[in-house]
Amino acid sequence: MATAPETAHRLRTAADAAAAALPPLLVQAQRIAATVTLGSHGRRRAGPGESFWQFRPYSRDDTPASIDWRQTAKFDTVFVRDREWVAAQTVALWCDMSPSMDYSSKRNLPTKAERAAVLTIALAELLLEGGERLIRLSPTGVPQRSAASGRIAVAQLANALVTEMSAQSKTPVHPQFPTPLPRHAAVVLVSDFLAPLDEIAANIKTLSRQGATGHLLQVLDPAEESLPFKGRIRFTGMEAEGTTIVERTEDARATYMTRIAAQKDGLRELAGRAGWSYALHHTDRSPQASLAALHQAMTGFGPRG
Amino acid sequence: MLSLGAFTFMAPAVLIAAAVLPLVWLLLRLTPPAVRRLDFPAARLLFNLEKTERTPARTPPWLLILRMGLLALAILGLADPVLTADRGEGSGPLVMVVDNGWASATQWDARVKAARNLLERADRRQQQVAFLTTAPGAEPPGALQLEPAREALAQITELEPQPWPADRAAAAKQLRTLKIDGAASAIWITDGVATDGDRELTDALEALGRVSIVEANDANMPLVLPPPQRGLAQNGGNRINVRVKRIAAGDLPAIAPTARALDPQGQVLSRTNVSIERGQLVGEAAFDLPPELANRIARFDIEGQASAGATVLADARWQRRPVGVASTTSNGISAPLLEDAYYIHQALDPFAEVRSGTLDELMARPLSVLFMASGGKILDAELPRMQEWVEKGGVLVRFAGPRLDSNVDSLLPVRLRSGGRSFGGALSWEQPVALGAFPDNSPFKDMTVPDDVTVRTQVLAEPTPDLAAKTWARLGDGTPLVTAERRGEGWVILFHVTATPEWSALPLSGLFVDMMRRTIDMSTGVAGDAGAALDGVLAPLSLMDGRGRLQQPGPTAKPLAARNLTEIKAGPETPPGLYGSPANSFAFNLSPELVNVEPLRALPRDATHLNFEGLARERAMKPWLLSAALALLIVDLIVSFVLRGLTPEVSVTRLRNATGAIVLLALLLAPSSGHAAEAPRKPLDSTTSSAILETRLAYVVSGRSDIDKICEAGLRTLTQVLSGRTSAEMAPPAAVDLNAGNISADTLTPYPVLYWRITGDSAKPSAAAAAAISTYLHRGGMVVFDSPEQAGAIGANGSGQKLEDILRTIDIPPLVNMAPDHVLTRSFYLTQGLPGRFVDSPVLVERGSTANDGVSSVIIGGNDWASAWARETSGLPMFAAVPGGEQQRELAYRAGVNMVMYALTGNYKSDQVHLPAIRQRLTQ
Repeated sequence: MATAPETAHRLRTAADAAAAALPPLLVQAQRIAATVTLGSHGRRRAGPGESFWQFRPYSRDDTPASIDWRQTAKFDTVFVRDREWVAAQTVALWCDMSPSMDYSSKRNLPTKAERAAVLTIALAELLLEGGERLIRLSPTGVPQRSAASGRIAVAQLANALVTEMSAQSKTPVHPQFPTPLPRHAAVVLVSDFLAPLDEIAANIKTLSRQGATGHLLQVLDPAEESLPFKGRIRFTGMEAEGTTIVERTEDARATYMTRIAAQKDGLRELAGRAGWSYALHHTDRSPQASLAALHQAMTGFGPRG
Repeated sequence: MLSLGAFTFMAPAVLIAAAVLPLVWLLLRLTPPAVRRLDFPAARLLFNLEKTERTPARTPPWLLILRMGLLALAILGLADPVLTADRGEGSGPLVMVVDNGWASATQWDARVKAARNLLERADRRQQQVAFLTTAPGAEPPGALQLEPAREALAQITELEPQPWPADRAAAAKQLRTLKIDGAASAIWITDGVATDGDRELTDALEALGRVSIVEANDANMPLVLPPPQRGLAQNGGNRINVRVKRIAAGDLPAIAPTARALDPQGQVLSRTNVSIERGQLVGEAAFDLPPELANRIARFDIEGQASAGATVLADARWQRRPVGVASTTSNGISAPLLEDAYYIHQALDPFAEVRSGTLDELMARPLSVLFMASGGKILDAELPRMQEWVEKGGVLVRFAGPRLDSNVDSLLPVRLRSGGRSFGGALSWEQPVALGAFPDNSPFKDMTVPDDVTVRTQVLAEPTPDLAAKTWARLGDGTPLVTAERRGEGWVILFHVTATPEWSALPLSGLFVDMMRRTIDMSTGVAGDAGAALDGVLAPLSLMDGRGRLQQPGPTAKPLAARNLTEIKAGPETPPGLYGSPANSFAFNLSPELVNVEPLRALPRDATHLNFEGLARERAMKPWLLSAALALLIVDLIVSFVLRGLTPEVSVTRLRNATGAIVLLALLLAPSSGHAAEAPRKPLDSTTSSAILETRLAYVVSGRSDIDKICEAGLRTLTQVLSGRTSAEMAPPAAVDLNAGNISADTLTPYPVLYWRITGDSAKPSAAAAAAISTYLHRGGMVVFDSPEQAGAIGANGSGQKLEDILRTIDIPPLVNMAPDHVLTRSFYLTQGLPGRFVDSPVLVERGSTANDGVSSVIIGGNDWASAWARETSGLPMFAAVPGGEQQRELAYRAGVNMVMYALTGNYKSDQVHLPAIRQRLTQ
């Protein structure tokens, strides 16, 4: 499908991107992350941590060393100083880099893959700020390395995403998520989720069975929402689904919009059934809002006190 | 060939192709526009659409109409339709008579076009044609015969208007030789000017059959320009009266053709509008020209009327004014008169061709003006001849004198009293009398009257009623000094004094010269000297063609017989033009014989009248139709692109970029085209080009590596300081090697400042280097000479010979100790002096320079600035500043900043030097 110059152009872009796009992507992601307020982050329960959580009466399980003598001196009871439990959660990030993501309907819009990568990196940035541990899932859903934290993890993530984005093969990839994730890990799936709902349901099921709570972030191009084309068009799927000729696209629009709505509703239902969150992002919108919502959703999850 | 109303199809067979149009219509209708391809991630959602949504797209009707129109236009165009007006020609042969006499030159192109038009039409109709022109040729024409129209078309391309009248009687005679079976149609493309043989020609044409007349409309009828008349204007210049006559009848609109006078090189000397009123045939106007210009006139014509009838060649008659100074009559006056004519000769020689001799000798050849210098009677035997000459336009100028103090003969403008009148003689109380003002009717009236011209003796005119009218100049007491009388075409003029200073101071004055010249200007020119012609004939020199242009004479032109020049009529053997020798040419013009020409009236009675505009309406439609088809094809192409979605997305940035690129391209192209003719430039060497691209400081390579290192480090640090503290962000410093081969002012010019550290063993610069430095300084460069080792050299003790040696080789302006308030001390920082590593060395600058806006081109000091500035790459200073330490180093940097800012901004801060004065003035 891609003509020779297009391929050449893509390769060059890939090389350029590998060399140079990483910092811009990182910078963009960092800029977006910086504008999202971090919000409360502790585990909101007593546990090992830095900050003060509460004083509670000494119980027999406590070591004498944990007695807060100053507080105890004020009262008759012996008090123990509890600190807030700061437990790092493991978050697995999966960013869809399949060929269908390499699409933008207008020149001045980013491709879905770019936007998805930006969102993923920005999210990673935010999560790392919050001290979480990250696992990057490869396009097929295999964890790339054990959970990492720290700024270097973001850089690694960004690097990997850019490499994947530039080295995108045209063969579609179906994620399987075969390797179990750490227990209680959160998983974030960023994709256009245009695959058949069955496949997606299977994936969610796999992940849920591993005990992961998840977040679906659907990234769509505005053209995929509204089908703004006219006339006789041969539509070619980007993941080898085949082609179809639509004689009057304007007439097919209503049907298409019903179907895409059904796809979104199905996704939402799948997520809801699994107790996951679902969010939709359009590439013509600013990523901040979606990122903030996603982050909010994520911090709302996880073990609570 | 197929005729459909006004259209004639030249290739009707092509029209058969139109039969396939319905088929094409069907095919186009059924073939939907090409499908547009689109990669779409959500394509899966579009699979398996319901049938109702798969209604096949059809070609939209407007596209169908567009394409059918395209095809139809192409087929029509290929069928080569020609739009014609129906002229109802018969089917027989066509007889075409074309007037190509002088009058046809107006609108000649329209005539040829009309004739070609008609012939092409005849060619299409495969008519036989007999083609005939009316102007006689040099050879008698052969018998007229019918021929294919194509032959006539070939003839008409070579047809030219002739500069002589048509001979229609001869044409009629030739027409009668034509043998035609049955009826023919005749077309006469006429010039609308009557000749003697018109009736015969119309009869001959009527005999042939149906006659059509093609003629110009009334507004485009030919104009005739008779030879203009040269006269004397009120202001003393020449007034040339032109008349323009039109040959037309009917309701005539007012026109205002422009008559021009041209010199031999074809430059227009003057032009004037000759307005011919509505209904009038003749208009008049005049050129007012100074005599010098009038004498250069070589031809007159009417602008836009390139015809022999509207062109008048001016020959020697316009330019030559032979002047005779009679020394003696043949047998009458015998006194030696040469001396009397001396002043006349002196006055006239520069302006006219002056001949001397006896009256007989002079009159033997044409003469414009005759001066009789010392009076005397014209003998009775000579009198008739002289009288006749004057009547014909001669100007006779006589001077009074001892022999002309009474009415000696009849060729005097006034009657004279016997005896002269003297003033200021020994026995007279009266004083010599000065000139009075010139009367209004005098040709001399614009001349200034000098007050030193006095008259002692004169002859007096008898008072008559018309004396005042005849007086051209008078004395202060009112007695006439110059009188003149018109006789026929000519003048008789009498100066009442002698031509010598004997009676008056007039011959000694400049006024006399002016009077003589003005007198000559009043005369008419004379024709070519027939006596000079070889064997009484004038050979053709250059001849007019039908459009009034002078050409080399052809082989058919014959010489003119000099005897009967006035009787010759223009014809193929004697075309109008210049005859004779180049020095003495005679202009034979056509227009004098056209004065009485009438418009053509004798036309066939029931002829069809057409004009050129009506004929021009025939045109081939093929190019138009095919162009339209092509345009539609392009539209269709664009439409197809749009339908397939192949239109490029045009964003604002792209447009802006494109515009920028175009502007850039234009800018790049503009100078390159302007300088294309220049010699290719020598490419710049890399050092110079990098110096040009980025401003940088430079130092002169001393030859000692340690010194060079100091200089480099010092300037590098100073550059850093400058970019840190000022807006002067410069590139790393450059080294200038004065011993390099390519050293020249051009390689130095890019540097604003040259730092020259002079050491004890510095070599003197080579001559080329010294010249380069000098030129660099003259161009506004600046050199900082720094010679710490020889700081004393600047003073008077002379220990530092080296600096002096070097400075001696360079063109250094006069120097002075830098004043404490010099601009250098305040160009950026307010400093005191220019401290460097040392502080005590004097600093010299240019003294009161006026060049370069008063900016000193040199700074000479010995404070070893570079050492103070220099830092290692680690940032540590290389040398200690004495005595002030680090504070002094800071001051040294400030001095360096000031020097560079001074070099960069010049005297920009010098107004601060005057600030106290300005402030003082403001407070006052």
